[in-house]
Amino acid sequence: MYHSQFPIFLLLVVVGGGQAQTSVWTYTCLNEKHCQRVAVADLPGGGGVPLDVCKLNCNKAHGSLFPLPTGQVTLGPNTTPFYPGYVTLSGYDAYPIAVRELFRAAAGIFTGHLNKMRPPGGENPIYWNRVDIRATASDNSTSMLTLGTDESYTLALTVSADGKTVTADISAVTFFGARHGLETLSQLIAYDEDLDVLQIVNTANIVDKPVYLYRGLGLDTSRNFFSLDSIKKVIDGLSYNKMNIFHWLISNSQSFPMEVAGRPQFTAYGAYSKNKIYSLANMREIVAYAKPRGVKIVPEFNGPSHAGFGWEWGPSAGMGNLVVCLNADPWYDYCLEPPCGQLNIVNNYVYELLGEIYTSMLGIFDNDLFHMGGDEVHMNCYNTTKEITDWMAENGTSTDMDGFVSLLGSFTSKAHDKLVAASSNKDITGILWTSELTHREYISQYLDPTKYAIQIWTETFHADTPAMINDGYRVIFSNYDALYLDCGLSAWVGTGHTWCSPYKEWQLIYDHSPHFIYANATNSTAADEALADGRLLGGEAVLWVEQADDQAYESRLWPRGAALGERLWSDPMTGWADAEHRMVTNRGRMVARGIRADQMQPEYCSMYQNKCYGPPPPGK
Amino acid sequence: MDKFKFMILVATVAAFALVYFPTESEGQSYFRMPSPWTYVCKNGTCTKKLRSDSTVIQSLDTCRLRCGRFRAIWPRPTGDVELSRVVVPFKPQNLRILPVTAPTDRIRELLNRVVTDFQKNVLRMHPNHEEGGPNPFDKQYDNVIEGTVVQVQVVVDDPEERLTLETSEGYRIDIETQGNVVTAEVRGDTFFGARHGLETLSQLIAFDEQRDTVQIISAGAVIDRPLFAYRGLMLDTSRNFISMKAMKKLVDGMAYNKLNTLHWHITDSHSFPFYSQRVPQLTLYGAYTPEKIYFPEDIKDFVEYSRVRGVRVIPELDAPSHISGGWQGLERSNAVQPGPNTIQPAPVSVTSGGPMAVCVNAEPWNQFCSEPPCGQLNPVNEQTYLVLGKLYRDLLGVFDTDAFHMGGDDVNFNCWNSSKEITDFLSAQRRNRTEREFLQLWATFQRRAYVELVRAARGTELTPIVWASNLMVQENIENILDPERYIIQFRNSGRDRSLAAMLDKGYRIVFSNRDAWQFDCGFGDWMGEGRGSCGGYKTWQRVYDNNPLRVIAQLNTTEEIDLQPGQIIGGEASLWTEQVDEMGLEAKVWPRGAALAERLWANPFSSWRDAADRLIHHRERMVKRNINADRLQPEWCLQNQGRCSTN
Repeated sequence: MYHSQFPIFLLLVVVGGGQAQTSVWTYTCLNEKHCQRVAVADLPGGGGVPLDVCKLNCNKAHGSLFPLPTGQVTLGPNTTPFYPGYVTLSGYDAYPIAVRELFRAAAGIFTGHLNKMRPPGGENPIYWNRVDIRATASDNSTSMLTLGTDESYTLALTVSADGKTVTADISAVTFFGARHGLETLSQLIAYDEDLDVLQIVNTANIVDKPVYLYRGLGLDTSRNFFSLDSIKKVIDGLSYNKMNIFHWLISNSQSFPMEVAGRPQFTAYGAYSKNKIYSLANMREIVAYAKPRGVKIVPEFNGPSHAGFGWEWGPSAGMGNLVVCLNADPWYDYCLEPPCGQLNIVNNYVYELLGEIYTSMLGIFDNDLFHMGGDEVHMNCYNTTKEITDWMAENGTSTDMDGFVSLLGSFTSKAHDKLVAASSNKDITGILWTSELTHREYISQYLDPTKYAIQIWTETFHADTPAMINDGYRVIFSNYDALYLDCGLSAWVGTGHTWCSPYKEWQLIYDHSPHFIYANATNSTAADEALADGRLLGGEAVLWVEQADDQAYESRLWPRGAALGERLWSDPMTGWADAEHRMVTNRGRMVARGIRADQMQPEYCSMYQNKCYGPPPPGK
Repeated sequence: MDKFKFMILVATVAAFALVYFPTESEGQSYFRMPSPWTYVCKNGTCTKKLRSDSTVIQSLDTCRLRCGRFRAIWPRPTGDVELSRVVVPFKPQNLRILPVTAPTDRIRELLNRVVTDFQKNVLRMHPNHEEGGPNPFDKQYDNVIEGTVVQVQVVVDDPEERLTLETSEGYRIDIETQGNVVTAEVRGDTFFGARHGLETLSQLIAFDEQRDTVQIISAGAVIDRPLFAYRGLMLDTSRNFISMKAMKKLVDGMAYNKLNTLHWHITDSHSFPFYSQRVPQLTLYGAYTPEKIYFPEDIKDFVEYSRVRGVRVIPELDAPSHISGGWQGLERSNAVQPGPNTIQPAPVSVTSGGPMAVCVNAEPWNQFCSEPPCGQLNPVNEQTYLVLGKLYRDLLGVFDTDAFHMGGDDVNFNCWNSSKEITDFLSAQRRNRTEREFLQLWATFQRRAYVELVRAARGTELTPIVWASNLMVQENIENILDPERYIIQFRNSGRDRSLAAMLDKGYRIVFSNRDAWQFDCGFGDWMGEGRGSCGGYKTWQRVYDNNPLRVIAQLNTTEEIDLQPGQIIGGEASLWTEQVDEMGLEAKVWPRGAALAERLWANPFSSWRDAADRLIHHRERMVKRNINADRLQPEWCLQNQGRCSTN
C-alpha cells in the first residue's frame, strides 16, 4: 500500500484551543474483507490508511461498489493519489450534438463530485498525477432512454509504468451505459484525509450490465407538494444507484399541481396554492435534468379514480360534471381516503380533456411509456351516482362486479386511444396499477398485453401475479408489503399506524427479487424466460406522500431505495447480509453528495466492520 | 381587566378593525384567475369554502388565529384564555419592543436575546422569507398599516437565572388596543416564564395573506403555567455523533414547544465524544474521529444557547455499564505519540484490581452486554472512582445543572462474573457469585459514584437521576439509594408493575415508558432483520395520549398506589441513535416531540383528536421556523380541517 512511503505523523488535526493532537487510530484491511480500526501504536511499521481509502478495495471481490456489478470485477491492491484538477475526460467530442451534450453534462457531474470530495487549493506537487478518462459509446446517436436501451459498460483502469498516470477506459454501447461507468468509476475514488488528496484504485477491470430494465422509484406529488429542488435531489439519488426510472405520480384527488397547456382551470382550482404548481417549463426542466443522470421520467396521470380537486369547474364551463363523488361524505363509503373523487366516465368531455392533458404531457415527457393509473376505483361511488347508473341502465351494464369491470375496461380503452392520439398515433405502452380490471378472470378480456404493462401493488405472493406473467403481460413489482416506503408511521385518518404498517426495512426490500417471486410460483426456467423476454420488467419502490413533504422525504427514500437499486441491477443470489457493509458505505457516499439518507447503524459498525452481527437465533 | 371593560374594548377594536377586515384582493397571482377559496371557522375548525358561498374572505392562517378555544397556541394554556376574534394587521418593522423590566442586568440580557428570536420568528411568517435573506415585508403599505404600532412590554421580577425542578415557569399575557397602538404585556414569574410568554405571544401573530403582512390578536389575556416541571427529550450522541448545529436546532424546536429539559446521553460504549480536560485519553481513544468531539467551549456555548430558549441541559455519564470507547485507552496512554502541541496527559497508573474497563469488545457480545460493543466499569478498581471523579469535575465545569444523570442501566452480571479481578475480589471477601452479590456490588458502585459526584460539585448535593432497573426494586435499596434524593427515569413498558414498586418506595419518577415515548422505534433492526427491539413506531397519537397519571392508574396492582404530591415530576421522550444521525433526526423528533410537549405542559383529559388540527397547524409553524418536522397528513387535510377522520 502507498502508505508505507509516508510517515504517520502527518495525521495532524486541529482541536480546541488551536492545539494539534495526534490521531491515535488508523484502519487496516482484515482478511481482504473487513476494514477495522486499529491503534496507530499497534502498527509500528505503519500500513494503516484512512477508513474511506481502506474501503475502496479492501474487499477484493467488489470493493465498495454499489450496486454490485454483474460481470467480472478485478480490483488491484494499489491506489494512486491525485487532485481533481488533473483529471481529463475525452472520447465523445466528435459525437452528434445531442449525445455529446449528455456526455458533457455527465462529465461535469463526475468532476463536481471530485471537487466536492476535495476542494481545489493547497496541493503538494508530489501528488501531481494524472487521471485520464476515456468514455465512449459505440452507438453515439441514441439520446433517449427507453426500456430497451443497452445500459451495459466496461471499465478498465491501468497505471503507467512511472505511476504518474492512471487511465480509465469506459466503453459502452450507449451514453446511458457510459454514465453508469462513470458512476462506478466515482466509487473507486475516495478522499484520503491523511494526505489531503484523492486516491483512485489504479488497476481494475469491471464488466457490468443491469438484470432488470425498469429500476424505479415512484413519488407522489399530490398529497403534498414537492419543490423542484426536492425532485432533482430524488433524481440525483437514483443516478447514484444506477436506477433509471422516476415515476412521477403527479396529481391525485387532493390536489392538481400540474399545469395543462390551455386549461388554467385545473391548477386554479386544484393546486394547494399558487406557489404549488409545476408549470410546463418546470416539468421540462426536470426531464432535462434527469436525462444526463440516466433517469427517465415516467409520468402518471391517474384515472378514473384519484381525480377530484382541479376538475370541479365543469358545470360552470358548460361541460357538466367532470368528477363525481367529489368530497363525498362520509368519505369511506365512496373512496379509500379523503377526499373522494372519480372521473365522470360517462361524460364525453372527460375524454376530450384527458386528450388535452395527455397532449400537454407528451409535449414534455417521452412518448413511449406513460402511466395511466387505474387503481382503487370505488364501485359504490359509481353505483350511487345517478348520471352513471342511468347510463349503465341505458347501455345494459349491470351494477355488479362484471358491469363495474366493463366500465373500467371501456374507460381504459378510450383513454388509451386518446393517449395514442396524443403521441401522434405512435405506439405507447400504458402502465396500469393492478385493480379489479387486472384480476385473472378479467385481464385478458380487456387489456392487450402489447399495449399495457402492469404495476403490481398487491401482496407479494398474490395469485394474480404469476397468472398475468404467464399470460404475457409485462410487469413491474411494487408490492405494498415490501416496496411501499411510506408505511409504519402514525395513521393520518384515525388512530394506530398506517394501513400498510409496519415499516419496510431495507433488509426486506433488498431481498425482494421479482425473479424469485415468479420462480416461486412457477420454476426458475420460466422465470429466466420471463426475464429474458422482458415480462419481468423490474420493480419500483413507491413513496406515497400523505405523510411526507420537502421536510422529510429523503430519509424515507434513502438508503432503502438503494437496497432496491442493487436488487434490480444485480439480483444477486445472496441476501441483504452480504450487502450490509456496502449499503452502509453507499449511504455515507450519498450523504457526502448531499442526500439526506437515513442512518442505518452506529458509526462504530463501519469502523469495525465485522463486529455488529446479530445475536444468534434462540436455541443456539 | 374586568369582563365589562374587556367587552367594551373588544367592541371598540371591532369597529376599528372592521374597516380592514379582509376584502377580495387578487395580488400578483400566478393564476390567471383569483383563488376561489376562503376559510370559515365553524365549531372550532377552519373549513375551506368557495368564496362565492361565503361572506368571509380570509386565509387559513387568519382563520386559525381567530378560531377555536386555544386558537393557534401550542401547547394549550392551562389557565384562562380570553382572546378577541378581531385581528389587527401591522408590519413587523412597527413592532416596538419596550425596554424590558428586569431585576438584574443578566436577566435583561437574557430577555433581550429572547426578544431577538421573537422578532426573527415574526419575519419568518412570510412565505417568501429566506434565512439570511432580505426582509420580505420591506414595502410601502397603506396608511393604516403603516400607522399601526404593536408594542411589547416584558416584565420579570425574579432574579433566578438557572432553571431547576423548582423554578416557576408561569406567565400571563395581556393585549389591548387603543387607537392605532396595540400593547402586549408579557409578565413572567421568572425569566423562564417570560420566555414562554413571548413564545405564546408569537403564536398570537400570523401572516395575513390578503395584505401581505402580519396580524395580531387585538385584545385579550392568557394565563398559563406548566403542569409538569420536567418536560424533556433525550438525545444519544454516542451511537452516532450529532453536531452542535443540529443540537441547537433541536433546542430551537424544544423552545417552540416549551419543552424545558434536554437530557444529553453524551457517551456510551460506541464512542466517547466528550472532551475531558482531566482525562483526555478517554476522548483521544473514544471519539469516532477528531472532528466528532464536543469541546468545553462548545458545550458552554450550547448550555447558554439552551438557557435563552428555556431549556436546561442535563448531562448523563452512563455507568457502570455502557462504557468502552476511551476507557480501554487509559491503560495505553503512554503509547500516544505526541504531535507538536499535543496535550500530554499524565498517564493513569494501574495499581490494583485490573483494568478500569472490563469485557471491552468482548465476543460474542450478547453474552456480555445488550448490544455491541461491550464494556463495563470495574467496580473493584479504586482507580475507576478517581477517573469518574475527574470526569464529573469536567462535566460540572461546563454544564450548569441541579440534576445529573448517572445512567445505571443494562448492567450485565455475566460480564463482571467473567472478569477475574472481580471474581477474585468477591472470593477474597468470601462472597458468592450470585445475582444478589452482583446487585450489592452495583449498589455500592452507585453509592460511591454519587460520593464522587458530590465531591466534584464541591459538596453540593446534586439531584441524581438513574435509569429504572432491577436494582431499584431490591428490598432495602432505599437504605442505600435515598428516595428523597434519587429520581428514577422509568423506561420499561407502561404496563410494567415494577413502576408501582418504585413509586411505593417513594422515588420520584420521570416517565419515558418505551411503549409510547421512545422515538427511534419502528425502523427495522440494525443488526439482523426484523422490526427491532422496541417494536413499532410510536405514533403521535400514542405519544399524545400517554398520560402518566392514567398509566399509573391502569397498572394492575393488588394494592392501590398512593402517589405523593410531585412524585411524578414529568416525562421525556428518548431518541437513541443507533439508526439516527443528523440526516433523519428532525423528522424522528418532530412533530411527535410537540405532542409530548402538550401532554407534559397541559396534561389534558382530552385525547389527540381534540389536538389534531392545532398540532398540524403548529407543525407548519415549526417548518417556517426552519425545523424539518415530518408531515402528518396531506396538505388537503390542513386546508380541510375535520375532513380527514374516520368518524
